[in-house]
Parts: sequence; structure tokens; C-alpha cells
Amino acid sequence: MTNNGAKEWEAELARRQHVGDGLEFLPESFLRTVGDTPTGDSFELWLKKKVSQGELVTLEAWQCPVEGCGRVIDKSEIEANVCPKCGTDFQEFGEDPIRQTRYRAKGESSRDIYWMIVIHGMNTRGAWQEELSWRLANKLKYSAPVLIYKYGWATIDVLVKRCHQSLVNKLGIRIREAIRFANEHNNNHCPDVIVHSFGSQLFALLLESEEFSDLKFGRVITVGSIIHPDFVWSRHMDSGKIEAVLNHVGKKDARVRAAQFFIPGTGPSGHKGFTDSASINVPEQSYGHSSAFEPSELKKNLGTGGLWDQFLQSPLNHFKPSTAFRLEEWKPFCVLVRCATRFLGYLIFAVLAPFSFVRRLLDP
Amino acid sequence: MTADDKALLKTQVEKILLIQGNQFIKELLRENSLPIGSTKKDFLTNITNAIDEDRLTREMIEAWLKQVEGWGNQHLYLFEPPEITPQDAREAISQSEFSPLIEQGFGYEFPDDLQLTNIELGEEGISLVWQQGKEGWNRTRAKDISPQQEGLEVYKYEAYRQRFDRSTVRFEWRFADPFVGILIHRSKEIDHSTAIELVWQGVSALGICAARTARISLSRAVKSASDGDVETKSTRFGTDDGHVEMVSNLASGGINDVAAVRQARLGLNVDDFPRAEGAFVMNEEGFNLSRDLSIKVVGSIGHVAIWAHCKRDDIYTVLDNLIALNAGDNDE
Repeated sequence: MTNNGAKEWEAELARRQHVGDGLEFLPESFLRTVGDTPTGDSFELWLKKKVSQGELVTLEAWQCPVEGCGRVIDKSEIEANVCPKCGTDFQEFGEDPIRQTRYRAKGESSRDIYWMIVIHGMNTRGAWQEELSWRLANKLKYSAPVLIYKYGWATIDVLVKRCHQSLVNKLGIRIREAIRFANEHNNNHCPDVIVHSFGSQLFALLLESEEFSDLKFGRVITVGSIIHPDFVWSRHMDSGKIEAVLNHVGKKDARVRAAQFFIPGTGPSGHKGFTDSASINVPEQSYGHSSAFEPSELKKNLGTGGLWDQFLQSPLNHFKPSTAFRLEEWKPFCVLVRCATRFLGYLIFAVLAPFSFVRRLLDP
Repeated sequence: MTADDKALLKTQVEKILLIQGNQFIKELLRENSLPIGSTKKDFLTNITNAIDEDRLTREMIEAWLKQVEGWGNQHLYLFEPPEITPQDAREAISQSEFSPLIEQGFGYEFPDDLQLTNIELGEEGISLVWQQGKEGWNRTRAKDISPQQEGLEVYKYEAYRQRFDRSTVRFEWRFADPFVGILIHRSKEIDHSTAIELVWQGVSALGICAARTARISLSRAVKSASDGDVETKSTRFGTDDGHVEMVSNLASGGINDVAAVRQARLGLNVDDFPRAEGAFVMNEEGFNLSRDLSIKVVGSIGHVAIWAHCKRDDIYTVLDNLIALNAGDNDE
């Protein structure tokens, strides 16, 4: 066995497991992919080694012997001596199906994005949502609707917990309605979710809400997250409410660091990461609060092989970004300081609430 | 059982063993706590001994045959149920010229042409059985004779080995079901249109209904199944002017295990295609079957082909699942 050949085979096998596609193969087609020619027995020995290591499983398979048909025949069809495609009775034809040895790599198949919900942050109308929707629609060659959720231009509303709950209720009702609509249109799959900034906090509160415990989601991406870093994602994964969470951490995100001082129940997870080992924190050194939504970054993240693309479509057991980390411990800032800043926030709310109310009426 | 009866039963059983699936012969032996063996020769020896020792009776063999003979390895066609009430249907059959066939039992000898041989009238349904015995020929290359010159000509002889097929056609009506089924054993000797016509003539002669009922479309079931509910080996969605076909070449999965094909399926608005057909694998565990079953469904004509030999309960499990998947069908 040449080392170079084995390295290429290892890399090709790892690639297939990573993307969750091409897991079953014929030896000759595998070699064709890596540009090798099936000579010698080194490849066969490598396959045997992989089988003994449990990385591959040998499959007994058959193929219809009729020229031009070649359908893969399964066990019950063999027993019935028939090819369901061309209708040949193998006994009458006088030739048995051609025996093949195939291999299947350990691992799960890739997944699809069926539909998506995107929730923006505060003090913005979330222009990135339209850009993301446009790019996603062009990326996928099938229809994967994006529900662009807008809760208006939230400003001082974020300072008071009571306002959070009101926004969560509206979000939950809208999502429940969207899921019902999707089901009516033969889309019974759970939506994937991308949340930003204050939208991440609304989503976390939605997951915690008993009233909306019926809502289930696929994979969740948080950007500029202000969810408390101790948030217990694993509880929601275990209960089947969400499948997985990717926290795209911005190391230059200053805004999320300020969240805990003014917005009740929040923390700097968009900068620090989450402590729950079930979450996947991936840092980006150059990212500020909304950098991930810049057109160039959206192109990179959603493009084939991009971080979001891999997270949304690859099997989770092989999704292991090299820079992923787990936050060991996080403690909120001194309670006295937070009380003082929170009090200041309430004062600002009390003073500006009438103006904000009028503005919301005129320009929600 | 007298010695003559036993000898007759052994001869009859020998013929059946030649065509029955090993899995089901083993089941007969296992259920009756008899030694099993691994080859047909072992099975025959063990069954012959058991008959001699009165550990296997005609009744036990008939009960087993009722479960396994004529189930699986067949084509099924689904139709709307007759409008007659079950009680009226039972009375009509009892008063018909075929009443002597009621509970006649399973025949060991199969006639040369399809003949109604048994009628089962149960509380839950009616089963009519037609039987036919035919010979078939299997190509046997090992027995070919290499080209020989005779005079100025060269002759090549190709060998075929004779086999005997015991074919069963059934009309099955479970009163609670929204369908009746015509089940035709897979045999080249049986033309499906002729067999279906013959069955409906028989049903009419029995007074169950005057004319054949409408076929049930299973196109919706194919569409739902191929959406991920069932392992789908291939599908074909058709309109009058064209069709789309998707196929998996995997031994360990269906079209939903091939990303490119799965996403092509996602891009399809199947509601635009009035007709759909597909090949599926219903697995033993997921569908509570006695074994994995490969099936083919041609939705527009309510046709289901089941390739493997199986049991009566398996057939009904497959049909119940297809009917559940078919809910809301409004296609052709």
C-alpha cells in the first residue's frame, strides 16, 4: 500500500462522512473519485482494515444481469427471482443477478433546509433578513421558504422585562401560525432558525415558555447573541424542541458585552460563548455585532462548505469546526453595578416611554 | 389417519414443498415443535416422519397453507367495495350455484385453468379463491448442448428445466376496509386483464354486485411515501405530456439517502403530477411485518406488486399503510 494512496482514500472517506453523502460505494467508483485506477490489492487491504476498524460495513448486493437494466436487486426480489424494473424472471432468463460487494461508511446522511425562521435584533428593521432570504433562495434549487419575522423597531422596549414577554407572545403566536400553514402545505418539517441580538433573547424566552412548548425547531444559529451564557440548551435538545445550536461568536462584538447591564435576563454569549457543552461555539476574531450579516460574510457562511452551510446540512456527529470551544465558566458582572445600570435603564424607559409609544403608533 | 391417507398427504406435501419458501416451511415445522433442518430435503424428511408419527395432520397443514399459500409474490388491484351489505352478500353467496364451495378448504390439486375452488365466509369478510396449476420452464444453461454439426448444418440446443407453478387468484373483501382487492399470483401464465374480468364475473355470479366497481387510485400514497415516509427505491411522476423519474442505486437506502436526488424531489410540486408510481421497501421493524418487503405501486390503476412470499397479515399491513398514506387522494 502506498502511503500517498492511503492518505487520499482516508481523506475521501472523511469528506464523505463529513458531508453525509456518498456513504455507500462500490470500490471502483470510490477509486474513480480520487482519480486512482483499481490496480493491485492495496486498496482492498485498506477496505478490509476499515471494515475491521468498524469504519466501513460490507454490504452484499446484487444487480440485474439484463443488459441496459442493471437495477440493484434486494433480498426479497432475489428470492422472488424477479427484477422489478425490467420484469425479468431470473430463472426463466437463466442468469443469476450479478453479485456485488459494496461498502457503507459509518455516519449519518446529510440533511436539508426545509424552511427557516429569521428574527432580527433591536434598534433595526433587520435588512439582513431580506439579504439572507434572497441568498438562500438562490443557493437552494428547491423551495425553502424563509419566514422573516419583524417585531418592529424596538428601542427602549428592551429595557423592561414585561415588554419582552409581550414580544415573545407575539413571536410564538406567529410561529405557531406559520407551522400550521407549512403543515397544510405538506411541509411537516421543523424550521431552522437564525436569530440576531435581541431576537436571540426572544427566541430563548420562547423556548422556556410553557405556553409555547408545542413549538419544535431544527437547527438554530445565534449571531450577536445576548442570551445568558449559562442557558441550558441541552434541556431543549433532550426534549426535542431543538436539534442543535451553533453560536457564531464575534470577538469584536462590544454591544453584547453591555447587554447584561441594561437588558434584564441577558448576557454576553455572542462574545463569550455558552457553557452548555451541547452548544457549538465558533469564534470569529474579526466579527463585530452584525458582521456575520454583511453580504460578503453571508456569501462565505452560506456558501458550499461555509460554516452555516455545514451546520445546517451536514451530519452533526461529523460537524466539528477546528476553532469550536466551550466556555468553562461565566459569572455576571457585580450585582450592584448591574442594579445601578438597570435602574438607569428604567428611568430612561419611564422618561421616553410616551415618545416611544407615539413613535410606535406612527412608525411601528 | 390411515396408511393410505398418510401416503396421499405425503405426496401432496412433497409438491407443495417444492414451491414454498423455506422460511415458511421452517415456520410450519417450528410452530409444531418438529425438527427443522436446513435444506428442502431435510424439511421433506422431517415432515414425512412427522406425518408417519401422527405429529403432523392434514388439518395442521391446511391451517398453515391458508396463511401462506397465495399470499405475497403477487399483484394486487384495489377497487371500491360493493354497495351490498355484508349480510346480504353472505345470503346471496349461500343461495348461489357456488354454495357447495363455501368453506371447501384449500385444494392440494390445482386445475389447469383458473377455477373458483373455495369460498370463505367470515364475520369480518369474504374471501374467494381461484386456483390454477401450470408448468413453466426455467432456462438451465448448464444443460445446454454445445453446437453440433449434422450434415451441412450446425445445431445449438438450449436447455430448459420444467417447473410447476401453483397459482392462486383471490378476491378479498374485509367489510371494514374502504377497498376490495383482487390478488393475482405472479405467473406469466396469468393475464391480469383476463383474471380480473374472470373474478368480477364470479363476483357477479355470486350475487355480490352486478358490475365491477371503480379502481382506487394510490397516487397520493406514492407521493406521500416518497416524501420520506417509506424507503423509496424509485418514483415516477407523470402527466399526459411527460414524466419525472427518480431512482436510487443504493443497496442500503432509497432516493432520500442520495442528497442530489432527495433535493430534486424537494424541488418537485407533486400536486402537478396526476399519476405516480414507485418502488418501496417496507421494513420488518418499521411496519410490523414478518419480513422486509419490496413493493411496487402503480398509483393510477391501484396496482400493488409484492415481490416476496409473505403471510396474509403482511399483505393487509402493507395495504393498510398504503391506504393511510393515500388519505386525501384526488388524483387520477
